[in-house]
Amino acid sequence: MSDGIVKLDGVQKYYTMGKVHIKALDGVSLDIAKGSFTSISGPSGAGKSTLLHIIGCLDAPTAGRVRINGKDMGAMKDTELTRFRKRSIGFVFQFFNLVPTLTAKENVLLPKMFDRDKDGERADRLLRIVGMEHRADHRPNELSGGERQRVAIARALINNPPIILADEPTGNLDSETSLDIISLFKKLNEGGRTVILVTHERDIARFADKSIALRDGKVDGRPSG
Amino acid sequence: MVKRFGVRNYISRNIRRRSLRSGITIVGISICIAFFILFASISQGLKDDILEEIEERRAEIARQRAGYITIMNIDPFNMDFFNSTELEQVEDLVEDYCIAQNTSGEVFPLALNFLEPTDPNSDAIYILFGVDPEKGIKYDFIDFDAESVSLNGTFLSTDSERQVILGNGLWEKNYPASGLGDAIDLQTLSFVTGESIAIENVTISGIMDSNPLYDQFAAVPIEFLLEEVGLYDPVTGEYQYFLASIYIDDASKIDFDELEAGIKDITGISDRGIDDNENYINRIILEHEAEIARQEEMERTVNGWLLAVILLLSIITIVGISNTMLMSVTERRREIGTLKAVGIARSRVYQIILSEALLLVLIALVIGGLSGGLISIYFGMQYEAGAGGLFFAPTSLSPFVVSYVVAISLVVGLLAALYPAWRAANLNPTEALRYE
Repeated sequence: MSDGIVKLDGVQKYYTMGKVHIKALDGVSLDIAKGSFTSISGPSGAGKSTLLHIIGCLDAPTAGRVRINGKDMGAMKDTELTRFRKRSIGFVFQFFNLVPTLTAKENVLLPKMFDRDKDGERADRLLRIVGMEHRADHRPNELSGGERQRVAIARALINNPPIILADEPTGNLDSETSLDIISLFKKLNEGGRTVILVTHERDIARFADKSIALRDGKVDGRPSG
Repeated sequence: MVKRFGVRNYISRNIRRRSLRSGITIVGISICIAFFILFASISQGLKDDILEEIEERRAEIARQRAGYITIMNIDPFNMDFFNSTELEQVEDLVEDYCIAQNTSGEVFPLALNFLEPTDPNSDAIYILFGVDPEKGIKYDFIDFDAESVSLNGTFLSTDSERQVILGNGLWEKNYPASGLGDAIDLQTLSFVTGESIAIENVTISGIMDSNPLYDQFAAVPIEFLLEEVGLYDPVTGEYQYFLASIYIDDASKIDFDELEAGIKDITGISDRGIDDNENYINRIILEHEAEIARQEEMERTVNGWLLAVILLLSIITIVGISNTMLMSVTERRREIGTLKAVGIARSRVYQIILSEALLLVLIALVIGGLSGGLISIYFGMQYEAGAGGLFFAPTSLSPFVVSYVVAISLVVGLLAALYPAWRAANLNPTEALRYE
């Protein structure tokens, strides 16, 4: 357990929507090993995305402890969390979330928008790795769904983060493209990155070497793999 | 390949992305800025005129106070008023004498202080020089191309205080049913003189023949005039008459005894007839000070109007920019959530929204500034040409005006974007990412 890059201990997340209290996460404890490929699955409303957002420091738990890469997230200030997120975590979303006015390469460079060193060469290299170098100057509306997701993956890698969090990355793609994208994640994982992927597709989940099932905000059974 | 990519590209493309909305907002702000610059240049033009007037009057006060700039008073009763050359001789003497002493001086006939109809067609009443039955009257109509004028109406007697001789036109226009001996109320007409003179009921003691020069005038007895304008001291019962005021620029260079002697030679008047008059200087200073106070009040009014216009235009601009930026932030919730997810700090999100608003203002500043500037130049030209109507005031597009229009516009732009930027910066990324 000592090499766990993501450790959650009794994490709870409660929302209040109007007068309704929602237990999105209800005492989740996890230990995800460095360099692993973990899938988080579960039915809609099980708390998958909430869990991913908490691991990605986008959201704070109502209770419980979160340690990422050995650091206690609860002890960090907002600016520290932002910096940590930028350096340590790459996000990939179901709807790609590319900026429509920017080209593929500019989208890849988006996290470095304010950096003095824009590192255009690294963006080119990443586009080559995801097989998008020939589409670098194209805008998202000129790209297919799979191509957009490749660009989004390259964007997630621009700061060379050790952890990649993907929220239903194939949810908007056909099955063939989905396999291509998952292969890409697998390749990144083999390169040493920790990949945590939320999916409700069993075909995708089987690529992971660990699967965590969530149900009603709780881990459903023991992690497999 | 894209060589450079940075926040500037991102911001400018966000503006272009919603070109119609951005365009409409820019047109709105441009109109506000054009109005702003027009109003600012008009008020600056007015203020320049006011300040110039104040400066001139302050300079005049300083001139009056500095050293021995004096007025020599010449007793009109001791001067042959019908001899128009006498005054000219005095003027020549003063001028030549001053030039010889390496300074300059001028003679201002008293009549000028009361006889300055700026617009001969106006309805204003101008007071002629006083009337004396024994001596008659001397005018120096240098501005009217007439050397001397005598009155053909009934002369007043020495004890005829509060009696007037009306100009023919004035009488026909205002008192057609009246005639000699009738009481009239001149107070209701505005007397334009060096200062306001309270004339209430006066008796018509004569009507001048029709003559364009003095149809608009009413003549009043000299005793009355002198007393009302402070040249009569009721305590001592002495009159401080004068016909001509003599100003000398540098009085230290003048030997007054010598100058006085010269004037006496020409006019043949006695010592009592020539005197310097500190009271008169003080009165002139008071008049200037009163006018300065009036001009300063006017300046405050102009400033007040400008402030009101700035406030109104600022509110319109703030509403326009805030609305546009809020819509933009709402539409881009997921994008802003993504920015946060990829590690863009909250302060940077602030910076992005503020910069987008500033960019809108900058574009509007170029468009509105140029069009407002051109309109204000056109207004200025029309005013100079005396077009009247809309073009009622001078305009001034000084660097000061331009710089405060620019500064206020930028500040207003920033203020307008503060709330949308705050909304964007404090957007909960998990909610924003869920936003469809």
